[in-house]
Amino acid sequence: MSEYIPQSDAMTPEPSSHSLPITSFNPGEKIDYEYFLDCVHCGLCTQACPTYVMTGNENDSPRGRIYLMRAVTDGRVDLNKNVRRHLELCLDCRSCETACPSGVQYGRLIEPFRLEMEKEIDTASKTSDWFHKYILFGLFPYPKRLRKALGLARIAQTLKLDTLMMATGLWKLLPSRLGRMATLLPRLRKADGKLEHVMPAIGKRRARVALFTGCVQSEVFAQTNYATAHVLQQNGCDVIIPEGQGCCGAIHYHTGSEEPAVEMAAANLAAFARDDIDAIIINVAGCGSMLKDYAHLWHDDETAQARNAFAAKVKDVHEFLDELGFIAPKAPLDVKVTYHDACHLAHAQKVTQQPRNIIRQIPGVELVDLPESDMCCGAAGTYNLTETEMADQLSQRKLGNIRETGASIVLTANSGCLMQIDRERRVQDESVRVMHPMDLIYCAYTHKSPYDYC
Amino acid sequence: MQSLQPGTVEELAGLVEQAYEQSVPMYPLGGQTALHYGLPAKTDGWGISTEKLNRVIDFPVKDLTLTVETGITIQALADMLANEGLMLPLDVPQQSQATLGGVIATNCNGPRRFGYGTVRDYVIGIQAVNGKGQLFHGGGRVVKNVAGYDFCKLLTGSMGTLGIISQATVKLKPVPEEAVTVAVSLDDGATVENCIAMLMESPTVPVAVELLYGARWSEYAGDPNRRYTLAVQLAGTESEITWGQQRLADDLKACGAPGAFALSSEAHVALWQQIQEFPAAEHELTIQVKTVSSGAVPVIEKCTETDPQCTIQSDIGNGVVTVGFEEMPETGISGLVVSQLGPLATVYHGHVETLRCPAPEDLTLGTMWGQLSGPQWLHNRVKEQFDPRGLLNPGRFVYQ
Amino acid sequence: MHGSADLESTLPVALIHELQQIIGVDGVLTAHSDRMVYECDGFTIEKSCPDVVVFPTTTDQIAAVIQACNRFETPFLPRGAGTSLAGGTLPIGGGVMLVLTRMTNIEEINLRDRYAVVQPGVVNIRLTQALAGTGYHYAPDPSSQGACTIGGNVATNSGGPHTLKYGVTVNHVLGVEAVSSEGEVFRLGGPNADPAGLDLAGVMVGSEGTLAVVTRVWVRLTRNPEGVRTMLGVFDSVDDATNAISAIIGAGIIPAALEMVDHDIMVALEEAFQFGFPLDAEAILIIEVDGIEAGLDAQRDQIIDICEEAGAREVQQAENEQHRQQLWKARKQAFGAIGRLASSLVTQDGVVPRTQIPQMYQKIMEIGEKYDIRIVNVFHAGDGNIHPVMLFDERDPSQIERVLAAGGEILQACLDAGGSVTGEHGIGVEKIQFMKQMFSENDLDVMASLRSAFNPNNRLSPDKMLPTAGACGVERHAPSKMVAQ
Repeated sequence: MSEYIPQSDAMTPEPSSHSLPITSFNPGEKIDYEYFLDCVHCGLCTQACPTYVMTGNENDSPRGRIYLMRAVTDGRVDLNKNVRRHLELCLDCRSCETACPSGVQYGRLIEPFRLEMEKEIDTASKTSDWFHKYILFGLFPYPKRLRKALGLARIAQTLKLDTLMMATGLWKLLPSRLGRMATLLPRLRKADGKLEHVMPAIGKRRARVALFTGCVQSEVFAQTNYATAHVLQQNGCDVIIPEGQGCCGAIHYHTGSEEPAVEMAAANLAAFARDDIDAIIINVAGCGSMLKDYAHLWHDDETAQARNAFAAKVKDVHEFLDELGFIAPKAPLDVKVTYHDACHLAHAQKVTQQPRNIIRQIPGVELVDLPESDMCCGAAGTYNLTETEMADQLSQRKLGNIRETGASIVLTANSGCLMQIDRERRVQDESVRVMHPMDLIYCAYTHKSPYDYC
Repeated sequence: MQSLQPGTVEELAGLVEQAYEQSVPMYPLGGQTALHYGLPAKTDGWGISTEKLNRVIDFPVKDLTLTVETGITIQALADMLANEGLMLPLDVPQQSQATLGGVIATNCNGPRRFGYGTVRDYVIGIQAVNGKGQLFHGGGRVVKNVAGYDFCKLLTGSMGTLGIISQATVKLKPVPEEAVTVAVSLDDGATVENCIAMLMESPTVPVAVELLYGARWSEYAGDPNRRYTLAVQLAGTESEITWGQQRLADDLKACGAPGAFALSSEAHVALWQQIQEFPAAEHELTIQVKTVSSGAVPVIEKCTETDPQCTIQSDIGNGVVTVGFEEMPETGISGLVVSQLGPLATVYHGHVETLRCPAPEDLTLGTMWGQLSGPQWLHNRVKEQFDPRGLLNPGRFVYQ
Repeated sequence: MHGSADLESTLPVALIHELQQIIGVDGVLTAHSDRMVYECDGFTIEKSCPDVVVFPTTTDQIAAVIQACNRFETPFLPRGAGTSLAGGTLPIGGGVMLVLTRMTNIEEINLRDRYAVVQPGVVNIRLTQALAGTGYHYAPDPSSQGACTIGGNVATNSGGPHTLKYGVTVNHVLGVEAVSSEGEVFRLGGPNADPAGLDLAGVMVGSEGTLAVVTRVWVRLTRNPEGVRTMLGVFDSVDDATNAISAIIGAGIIPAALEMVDHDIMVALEEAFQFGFPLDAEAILIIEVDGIEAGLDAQRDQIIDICEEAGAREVQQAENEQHRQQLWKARKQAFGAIGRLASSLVTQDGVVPRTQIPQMYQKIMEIGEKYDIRIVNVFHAGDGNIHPVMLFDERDPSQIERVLAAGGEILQACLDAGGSVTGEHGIGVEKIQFMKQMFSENDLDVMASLRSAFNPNNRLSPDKMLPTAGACGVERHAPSKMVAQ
């Protein structure tokens, strides 16, 4: 009993500053301190946070992470490995922003904070990391390179090697993130047609839009892009596919590589700088929120006007169609579907009702509510490659909820979610299909069975 | 036994302090309508009556609250409230004698608890004198208040063993425009269960759901050849009641109980009066089984099996079954309570109490109070803190 | 999760190792940076860091932890989601904090007998969500219901807008399983509402975690009303609005909910939720009646008449369920939204007899003027539960002084009116000094004796709620930005 030394005064600062030296590095120092002050510590965000729901540890909640970042900024604690770990575990799903009544802009705290954290890690170590060098930065942003790599994957899929690999657990023998990537790859499907530079409206012309085709999307989900263009055409839109567009830069920006992201943004600004379009349409939630963020992610005055003009025109395809007035297909499908809210659509872009409005208008489609529909599935950009344990827990929870609805198809409008949920259902050998809403609508227009389609 | 009648709470506290100093047992007295409730007193002592503590302290009508001394009778209280169109919807037997303090101490509830709740839902402030003579209070005069420990809950149902309750503040309810009884006769337990399950979910939100058995209730039965009468009380505005009556009749029919009818207003008043008085009525043996709602039918069937001549009144939506036996069952009290009904009540998360019996001196803790729903040591410790010399109602409640 | 990294704790190593054995290394936080987020709850004025944080998942683990704490003579206390507003989860003097957020199972739902059994870490709204489609819900709906736990609700006896008609947490708790301050598991009450013996489960509710650690709760389930009418009364003066409140209650109508929001808060809500509030009005009342469909239109009309008589400019009706939900979302998140009005704020939780709301409002505004502090108001008006919110700048020490003085004066005014210093937030450490104003020495002495029966060594959440000798060594320095429901 004598071992116990009660604290003499509860207000005395804890001894952390003695046990570990405070480094000069402070990733919070560039952050506008007012963003921290917006948080009134009410805790209403906590249950919105997928990682907190899973761990029950306040350090893994938005309120806790803000407290940690502020404490680091104030010099109350060191940026030690525990603190880093809690911040890295954040999915950046922004679900907490939707929940926050006080209007805390959590993304504007965690993103720059993590950016600085990443920068501080020796850049040499990152370039020598094969995963970042060859895959994230060497492969993803380049559709042509990706196409070649996927060609090999397609051959493997034709030979059913992928199924074999999944069934035998052979993928676990590959380097972990490569193995994970291999299993994430959905069944690759050739597009029904080729995207032309200009695809004319079907019926009366109502709008003229440019389609952003993305990097991963244009290869892994080539058919979804084709379907999206077709749906837009059916809705009276001339669809233009501008040349010179490329990756939105989100992966780079969110993993701490700001420079390539700026270059990619510049290319996209140039490609879409035309007066003859009413909107820039994007069908991937993650890219969409990045494109909309072009307006405020950088602060150089020179490009400000171009960035603002660009961002103002960016519309998620559902958002656009709902606003335009959706022309529903005539032929009925007979399916029960449910809808999963991609974080970057629901929380970052606040687009939640529009996809549902549209899906409900497809004849013969019954849309049932998905419990916890706006809780992250674990994909979160490249999170599912780097934080596999948490990502798996989340996708298991997601699939459990999907199973409960009894729907035969789950719809979601983000490539990351499509891959993550599809992987989980293959791991668990569930029959539920995973589709982008545009694919389902395309099936209705073209009289295809959605079950044969995917 | 000497009976003392303090005229003020200060006098009351003084008396208790005196008793504490002299280690004299004390028996708090209200209207003396429930003296048979609990184990019999075995030691002599002072009866301390709240008869003269009956003043109205504060009656802010528009706040729907009332603060009174607890010696006020339920009848006097009801009359005063009725003048303002208000009520305290607890159905207390022998209202002209029963006092508010006694009602709180014995946690006396009746049929309308189904719609209106129980004593603990109405007492928002309380004042009492503990076994050392300390006058203390908890809660307050406002309807929402979380400051300090909730003595209102602690003292409700404490049988006068932790303190003599001297003053209370209660929440009030407006008297509904109208009330009506829909009754139907039923024959078998399965149909009763169907009807009760339906009534638990009924959008008509009844204020009371009673199941009655025995000849005493025959004048209210639609069909005297059937075993049970189910009586449902609705209260509200005229349009609500008109709709509710029809809806209930339809729903009962769908549950296999056709022929529901509304009682005349005279019969309605008489029936609920009788139901209210039933637990206090004279029987050779009266027991009360308190379980969850779904336990009521099995308990009732068990009782009618034991003695087909018994009389039953059950707040069946709340799982409270009161049974009057005109003859002591062959098994005796302990056979009935401990061997037959006790285990059945336990299955349905409840217990059995003996309200009235011919030889109270033979009652034990088990046959009087049933299985305690909390640890004995904690009950004892609380008692020791409030009444360290064990002078308040000694030997009558659950402490050991 | 990463607690084993460094044992920066003042507790004996042997105790920490024992805790790690009981819970597993993953469930024990010892690093200071990991424990720091547990130094305060929704009340941030005072802070005290636990020496170790554990995440038990079973009742047995909790019992074992408490037994270990007793052997090492170390204080301990439970915590749920930490949304409480009076510092009830502050570990005075450090010690072991039992965080119950990993006990999230809804163990049983019994519709026939209208009860559910939940673990303490179940988030309030999750129970109602689990009941979707059954026709039942869990009635207590504190504004933080999307985040707060039922265990925490039991500790603070939480209210909520709809508790006006349906009652607060204590009216919906049938029983609890708990671990005593000495480490013994026991049960009070259960599915049945009539306990044999004392109503000790009722005593546990609202005891702010000072009597025992609740490990399981039996709660009552409430039937959904058949119909509902939600109205928005728009007033050109706060006096008219408060008079309308008084008139509604005085007419013997008990709505399901009756809330008042003044102009400045409405502006913040509008910014947060774009509901379409009439920004030129001085106050709005949110009035909801529910029950039998056949009687609702008449009740609604009566309320509209009363409001109009009291001078309402208009009374709008929620057009549909979505509209209604939006309105409640706005109301329930009012306090968070006030964060938009000022850099710092502090809220009171007083109660007055409900017909005295008009006079109390006047008094609050006078006090605001006297101390030159801007005060905005949101009231659970039907209950008489007022939440004046004082806005200030924490960088100005003179403002802090004035805010503390004004807050004290408002609570004193509540007591003078026959009310209480807390309607739903609890005493915690925040209002401990008001206990002596509200209760006599005898009252506090008897309360302390009740605590002794449960918690004889005072190791469970010491120095909370009762201003007993040696209480609260923590000096209050300054109110910072804080919220309330």
